[in-house]
Amino acid sequence: MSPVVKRVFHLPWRTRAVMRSDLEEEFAFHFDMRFRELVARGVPAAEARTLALDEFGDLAEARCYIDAVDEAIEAATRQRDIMDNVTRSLRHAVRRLVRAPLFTLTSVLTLTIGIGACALMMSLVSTVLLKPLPYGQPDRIEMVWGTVPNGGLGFVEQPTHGRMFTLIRDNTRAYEAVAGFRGAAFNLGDATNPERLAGVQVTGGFFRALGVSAEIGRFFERANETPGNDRVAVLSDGLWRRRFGGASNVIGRAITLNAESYVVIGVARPGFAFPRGAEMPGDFQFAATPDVWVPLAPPTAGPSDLAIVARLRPGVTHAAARQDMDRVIGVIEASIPGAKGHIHQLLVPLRDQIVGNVQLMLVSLLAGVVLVLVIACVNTAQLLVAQLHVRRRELAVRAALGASARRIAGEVMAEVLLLVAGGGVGGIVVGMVGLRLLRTFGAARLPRGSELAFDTRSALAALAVTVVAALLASIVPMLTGSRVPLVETLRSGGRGAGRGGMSIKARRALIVGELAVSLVLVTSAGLLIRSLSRQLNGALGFSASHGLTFELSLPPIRYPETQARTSMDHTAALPFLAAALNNIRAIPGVSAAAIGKPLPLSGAQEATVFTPEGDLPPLASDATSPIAEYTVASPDMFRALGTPFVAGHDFSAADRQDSPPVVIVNQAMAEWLWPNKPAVGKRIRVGPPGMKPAPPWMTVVGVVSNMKRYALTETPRPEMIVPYTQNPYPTFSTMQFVVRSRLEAAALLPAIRAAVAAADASIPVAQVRTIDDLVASSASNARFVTRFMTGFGIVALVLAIVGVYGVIGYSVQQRRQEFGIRRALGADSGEIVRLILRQCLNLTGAGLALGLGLTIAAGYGLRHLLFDVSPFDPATFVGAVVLIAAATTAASLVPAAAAARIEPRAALEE
Amino acid sequence: MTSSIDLLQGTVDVLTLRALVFGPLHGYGVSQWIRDRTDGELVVENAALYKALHRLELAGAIAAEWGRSESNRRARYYHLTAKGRRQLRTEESRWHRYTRAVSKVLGPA
Repeated sequence: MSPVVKRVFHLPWRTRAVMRSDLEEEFAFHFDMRFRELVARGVPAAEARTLALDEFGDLAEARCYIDAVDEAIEAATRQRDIMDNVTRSLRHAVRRLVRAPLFTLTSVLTLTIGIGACALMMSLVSTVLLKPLPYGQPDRIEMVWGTVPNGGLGFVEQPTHGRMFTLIRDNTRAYEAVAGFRGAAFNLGDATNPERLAGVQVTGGFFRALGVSAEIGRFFERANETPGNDRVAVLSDGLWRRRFGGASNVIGRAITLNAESYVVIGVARPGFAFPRGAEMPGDFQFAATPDVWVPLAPPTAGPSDLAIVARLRPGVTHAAARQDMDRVIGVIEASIPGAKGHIHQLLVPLRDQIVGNVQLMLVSLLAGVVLVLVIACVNTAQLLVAQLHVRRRELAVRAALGASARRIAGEVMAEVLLLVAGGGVGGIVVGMVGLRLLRTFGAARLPRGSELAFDTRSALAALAVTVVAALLASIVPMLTGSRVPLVETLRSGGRGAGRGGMSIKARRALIVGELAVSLVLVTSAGLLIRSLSRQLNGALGFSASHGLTFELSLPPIRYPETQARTSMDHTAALPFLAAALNNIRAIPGVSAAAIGKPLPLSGAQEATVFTPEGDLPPLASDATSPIAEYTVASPDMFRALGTPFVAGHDFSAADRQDSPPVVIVNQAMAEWLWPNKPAVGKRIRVGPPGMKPAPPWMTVVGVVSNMKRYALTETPRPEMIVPYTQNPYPTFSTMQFVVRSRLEAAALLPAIRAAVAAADASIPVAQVRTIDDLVASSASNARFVTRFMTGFGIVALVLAIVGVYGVIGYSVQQRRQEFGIRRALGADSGEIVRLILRQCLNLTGAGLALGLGLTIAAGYGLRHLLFDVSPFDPATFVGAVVLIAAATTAASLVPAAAAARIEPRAALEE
Repeated sequence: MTSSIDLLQGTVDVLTLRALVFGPLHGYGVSQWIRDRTDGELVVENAALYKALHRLELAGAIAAEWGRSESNRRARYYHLTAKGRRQLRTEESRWHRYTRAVSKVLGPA
């Protein structure tokens, strides 16, 4: 047998037993031949046997040796056979792919989009949700928040008072380290070149609670809380490199923060940034990433303003910590008079705190992206089936010549592998680029955004996705490809064979599936778009355009505040604020400027317990006193924000520290306290009922529209606004300004800086944002998820169009003769077009019907992401159905027009 | 067997390769060929012969497949591969150099 013949009629692989018996047969043959030869030469049989046997020598040793050699031969043969098979299949596949460039390009692009989107989303999810947090034993870290059950406040997580913090720290048995911290703005440097830093004041156990160590130098100890040791600072890696050139001799150097001298004792590791604004509740107003940490002694007076982070002792569970906290609350209630029943602490594992908000969003997007991948694979499968159908004659001939079904399936697999490999490479590139873009543009808003990187996890995820894609795309084509009906195909000369039999059925099934999944994605995108537009176009209560906001931080050493609740000694701060405001109002082009704190959607929150004159309003079941949002404002704040008055009037320059106290309330407050009665002229005061000494009554002078304060999705809450001159609370350390002007922000800003500098050159203008920007960023999560889902929807729609176009176009081609006959029998072109459109609508209808159930499930899954839109919003559902139907109809019009042009004679002559 | 020459290392390999130059042979054929060509002077033990055949197959110098013998019995036939031909050429020239060198030392017999 020649080697060529052997290769085609490949011998089966030999087992060990077969090899052994082959060898014995070889020996036996040799022995017999030699024996007969000797006998033929006249040697007696007995002697001949002995002689022949002697010639063999040591057979036992030879058997051992040859067995080992044979096994090696067999292993090498198998390996070579497999490699031959693979390379042959791949070579064939490459040749076919090159011959059909349009098909190849479409498939690779489709798969690139599918795999790329999947890889991107999987690395996003793996980094944000799955990767351990970058702190020591992060599972043991918890956040401890104050909370007001059903208090109706904007944020569930509330700050804790310094005295409470101390009591928690001293009495806990569950935590090995408890630290309080609060955001603080620092002006770094001297009066000529101030830079505003995002700072955090932290108590001694802060770094220990997080389980991190310093890059250089050391971190704070409990001792750093006491005066004399507390003028020390830890720098972030970024600040260290930016301002100090990464020099290690920065340790021990003095820096000026808010006009006071601090000694640098440590630098944090690169990437360490706690707390990050995007990962903490919005009401704490932490900056995106902190630049500097300084020690804080737990405050014994002043407002509640601490966030708390704590580390569980080894082996203590979350539930045990909860129990222990309830015990500690008992201790606190015993030591603070009148606190009983008012103290509630919320314990949140750090991971939930950081990713809780985005978990649902990311999981929804992951589900969406998986559907995109499914569509991409289905589309590729559909195109492959079409290709196989074109080649069915060749396949039938080869099958007739003995090519096995497995062989043909192997070739299809090879083709799919090549396509998917192309898509995989493209997808990984898309994923890497996408991730980089996300990190550049979304890192500040997305929790753990700065940790995003295309790492081993991402690569593995992309690989897994690619393998799944290969499987998804190859199953149906392999099945159809290896089942080409032999006889009919050959008999019909490779044409006709019904309407394509098996393969056209497979393609239709695939298209129906594709349309079903498209409906899910298009509807989901539609729901999210509607929800986003409801958020952006809902009544804001202020005007988003032509407004600019910024912050000024007043260093307490130069602008001291008294901390007693009832006095209003802001003697140092008030003249500066008034001067800055007057200078800004004098800028040409500025139509209104005002102080307001907190400004809407700026992330800040103030709230106060208050008492109305007369009866208490209806309260939530477990609330004991009425609570309202609390804002301080200068005259003109409502004009600068564009908030309309419903009744009464604004504050005026006459509302001073020593004039009768006044207050403005929002509509929600007015309706809550005095339903169906005029609010103007009514009186309220801050503090709980029966507070001694009683704060003065404030008279309502105006009622304004409800403003969105924290989120575009919130329902209006009661709010009171008091003149900044009459504010009884010390909240002047950071003040917010709002300026309304027709000028562009960039043109206005230098003038504002100059105006502020004219009042005090050492105070930098910070946190400059347009109101437009504030609105946009409060919708940033919604926008993020909506953009992605819309992208998925568009991809799904385009692929569905391509798929429908392919199937209908092909069927028109197959039915040319039939259409020709119909024309010859008198059918006009309209009839033919109707015939084809009906075919298209049947496909679409089947797909949409199949997708409806899935879509309802998807809407249900998205319900928590939707604002003011039902997850089963009929308008969106109908819209999506109409959109897909219109798209598929449009896709089938081209082949329909081609069919209408078929000449009766031409078709018959073919 | 005492009268015949002891075989030097590697001799069986080169003899086997040489035996296959004219076409495929089974193991018995190879042993016959060697006996005939040396008039029985060189006796290769069958154990050594078969070890060489399988070793050469593993090395890719020869390939084997089952065929039918003259008496229509199933027999394993070996044939030279391109690699085997190359190996034979180098082995032959080395063998000639070797025997020439040894002959020079020993002088005419």
